[in-house]
Amino acid sequence: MSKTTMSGSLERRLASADPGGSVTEAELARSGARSLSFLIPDAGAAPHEQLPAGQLDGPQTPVEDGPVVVSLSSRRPRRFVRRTLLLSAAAAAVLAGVLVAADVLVPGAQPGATAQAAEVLSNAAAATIKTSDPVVKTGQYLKIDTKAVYSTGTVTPDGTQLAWLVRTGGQVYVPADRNGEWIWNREDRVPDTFFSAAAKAEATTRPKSLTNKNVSLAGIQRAPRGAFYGNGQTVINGMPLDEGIRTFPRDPKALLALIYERTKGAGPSPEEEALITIADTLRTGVIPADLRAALYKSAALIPGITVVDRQATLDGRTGVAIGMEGPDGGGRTDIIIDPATGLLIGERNVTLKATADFPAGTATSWTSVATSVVDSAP
Amino acid sequence: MEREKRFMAAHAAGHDRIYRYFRRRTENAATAEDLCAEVFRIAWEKTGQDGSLSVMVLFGIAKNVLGNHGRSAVRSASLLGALQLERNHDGRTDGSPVHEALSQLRPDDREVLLLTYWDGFSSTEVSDLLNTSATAVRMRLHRARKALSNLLQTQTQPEGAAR
Repeated sequence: MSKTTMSGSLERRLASADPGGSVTEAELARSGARSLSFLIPDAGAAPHEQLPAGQLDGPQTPVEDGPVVVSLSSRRPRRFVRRTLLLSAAAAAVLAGVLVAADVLVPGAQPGATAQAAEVLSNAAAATIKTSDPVVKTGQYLKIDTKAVYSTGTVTPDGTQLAWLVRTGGQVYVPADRNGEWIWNREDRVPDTFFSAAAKAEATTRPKSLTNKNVSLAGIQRAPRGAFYGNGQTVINGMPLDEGIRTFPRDPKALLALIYERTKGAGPSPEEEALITIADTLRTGVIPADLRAALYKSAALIPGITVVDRQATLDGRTGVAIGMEGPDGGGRTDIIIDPATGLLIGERNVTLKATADFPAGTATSWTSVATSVVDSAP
Repeated sequence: MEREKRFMAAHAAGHDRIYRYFRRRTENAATAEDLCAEVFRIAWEKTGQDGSLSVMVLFGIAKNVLGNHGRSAVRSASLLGALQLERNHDGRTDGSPVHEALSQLRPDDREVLLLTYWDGFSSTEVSDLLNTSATAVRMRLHRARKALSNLLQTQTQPEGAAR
């Protein structure tokens, strides 16, 4: 290898080994909220509306990810109101690299989900059974195409908070042999939807360095085993992918118990963290059918899941939305399934109440995914 | 109110970069979050003293907070320790060749390299942050790049890493 070649690839190798590159939007949002929490007396208990006058005006959520409040369960007291997880499923998908052609297999008895939701899941399961997994032959790739929109924002020097939606996406190419080289084409973030002229002006004019993504992550990356950031793909809170696929129980109750255990202490509530973990796992795109099915069955055991829309459209595709509403009624997290094929179309977070930045009913973040088998990769 | 506005603006501009800075140099997300919260608590005190709160000021605070964390931790504050801990913590056993190579660099050289390529600072900013001359920064960066190249070259290249 020539010296020139080596030096040319040095930046890329360093970038691919950057632990900062695998930081998720959810992590950032959590830390952002936490690092503001000291400003609010009794942060662990005070709802936003009861903030003392004279403290920070306006929404207290971290400005970088706007009011995408995802609180999936009211069964337990929230331990950290200020740390309410602001989930950008979109960014998580892009960072984790991927998503899913999902089988859905759900048993009749649903202690967690409502009867309607259980029926939708069962029907999807029946449809999916007829759809076999895509076969990826040697030399071919499973292509996982993700589109994502999520909220971001800033505080201007005069203290005004502004938020808007950005769009990004990417394609991950997983080789027939998962130990081979994965290819990931990451797209840049582009300001996409604005709800005020001020937000639009700010989003389109402010220097890139202030977006906290001072170095563009767009471009093609390559890594054996999908280890784009120097470490292999992991599932359910750090388990190496292959080991997880091999050892995770297929019994839904046992699997859910394991998820609760591995995520203990994380997130605003165990239920919310469990659902997020399940979504994260499915999003890897390489989970075999039996484990996918078990994950869906596990999700159906989490209290609070309902059918929210039988004609939900995401990125031009229509499906049934199954979701969980946050305990404060401010937002809802949905997954959207194509009832004809049982395939997962994507996921979204919807505001239920108007906020300073977004009207009620806005999908403040969404991710759509499509998988296909292709003969070549970039 | 003015104080809060200044603080919120600084938080918006700096939080994510600061968080990543800690994520790169500490063992896990929880530690990074703790240290990040500490930085902004200190930054809030500084806004009370009419100090400016640029991103560079935040990073100056972050550097001190990290130093204190390193001293108080059982392990040494070296990146090697952090990276190893991180791998162990996350159950990741496949040592990255780049991480291995980085761990063999001289700490001062390595920090210049990481501030440049991971944290995205210009050489002027790096010299400000490390309180050293721009010449010294350039020299360290050159040395670090050369050493890293050599280390990566002499390593075996399993599975076609870094084509």
